[in-house]
Amino acid sequence: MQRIKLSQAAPGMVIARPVEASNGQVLCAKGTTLSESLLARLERLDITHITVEGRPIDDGRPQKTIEGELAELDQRFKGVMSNKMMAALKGVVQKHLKKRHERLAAEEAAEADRQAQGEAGG
Amino acid sequence: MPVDMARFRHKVENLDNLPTLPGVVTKLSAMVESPTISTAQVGEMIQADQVLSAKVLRLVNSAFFGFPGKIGTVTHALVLLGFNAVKGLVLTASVFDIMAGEMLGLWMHSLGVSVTSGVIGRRIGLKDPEEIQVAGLLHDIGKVVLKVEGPEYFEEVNQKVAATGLPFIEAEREVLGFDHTKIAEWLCQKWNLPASLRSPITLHHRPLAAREGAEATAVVHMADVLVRAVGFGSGGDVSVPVLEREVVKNLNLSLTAVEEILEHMDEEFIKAEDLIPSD
Repeated sequence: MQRIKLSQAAPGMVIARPVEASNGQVLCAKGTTLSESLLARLERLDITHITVEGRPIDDGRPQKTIEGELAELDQRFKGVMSNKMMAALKGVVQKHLKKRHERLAAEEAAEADRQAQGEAGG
Repeated sequence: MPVDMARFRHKVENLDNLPTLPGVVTKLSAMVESPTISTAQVGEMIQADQVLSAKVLRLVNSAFFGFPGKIGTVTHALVLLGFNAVKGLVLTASVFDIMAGEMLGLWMHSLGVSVTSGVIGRRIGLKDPEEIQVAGLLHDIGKVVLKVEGPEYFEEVNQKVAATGLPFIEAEREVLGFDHTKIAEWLCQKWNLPASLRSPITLHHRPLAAREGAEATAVVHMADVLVRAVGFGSGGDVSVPVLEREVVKNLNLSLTAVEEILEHMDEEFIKAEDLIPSD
């Protein structure tokens, strides 16, 4: 998921986290697909940022490959591997990073599908 | 370069202002100017800013307000100080130079530790999870002060880290003879911060030495290790410090629990991104 400015949002994007008004009231549930009218409404209510599924906006942050992330992980834990607790912790973090990568890849694939369908229907 | 500890301490204690970040300050200024903002919202906004938190807590804990050493959270502090005092703080903070580059990494790291301390704290049922988030946010304040009050020392420490790969804290000890937790200790004393904050800020690298505030210290220690383990932000070096086995035991957390905490951290980090200035 990606946190983006409302000005960057477009119809077809899917809300990943509930959008709340400043008083805490939920304006938009998770899973809602954005439409022109919904975007206009959110703008009127002074919402500036939302979190959407996938990573539709190129925010200039290079997407790290899983190999890159794991290599950096190795580097970070280099000095403490003789400690059993730390070796176990590294294992947990490694598992977590892989899981996160798989989830992001799945979200991106779903986002690509949605866009393709949108183009086909639009 | 030998460091005259007494002189440096004097410099640190007379620090009138610390740098803060434009993103947060701008947001807060906008919020403060709106007539419909609630105290709780302002509290949340300030709590996420390391420097503003420090300013607010320092003020409230001074003898002047009559609550020495008792106020640990910003929201509580807000209730006591009032909205106008907060406005004054925001305006004061906004005239300062913004730290970028190295400090931005530290800001992200501190946000990460704040968020993670909250996740762990809530999980183990801590009474005041907001307070532990404040501790997490402030845990490396000594490094900010080192840079502001001793830029040549800060530079030397960074060079040592780059040249030797030593953890930042060890490089500090070699260059200065003491580290950022000592600097933080001077500040905590000067500002009369309660043990629930003072202990995690000064002892997060030595959690087993904590007495009063030991649980909070254990949480921030673990949060610091986890945030470094996942590589969120930068504490000044790339090494992960050793997680004290005794801490994990005392907090009663299994490796499965850690897995769940890491997941929860990811979700919370996304929320925190709002507080990192972007172009």
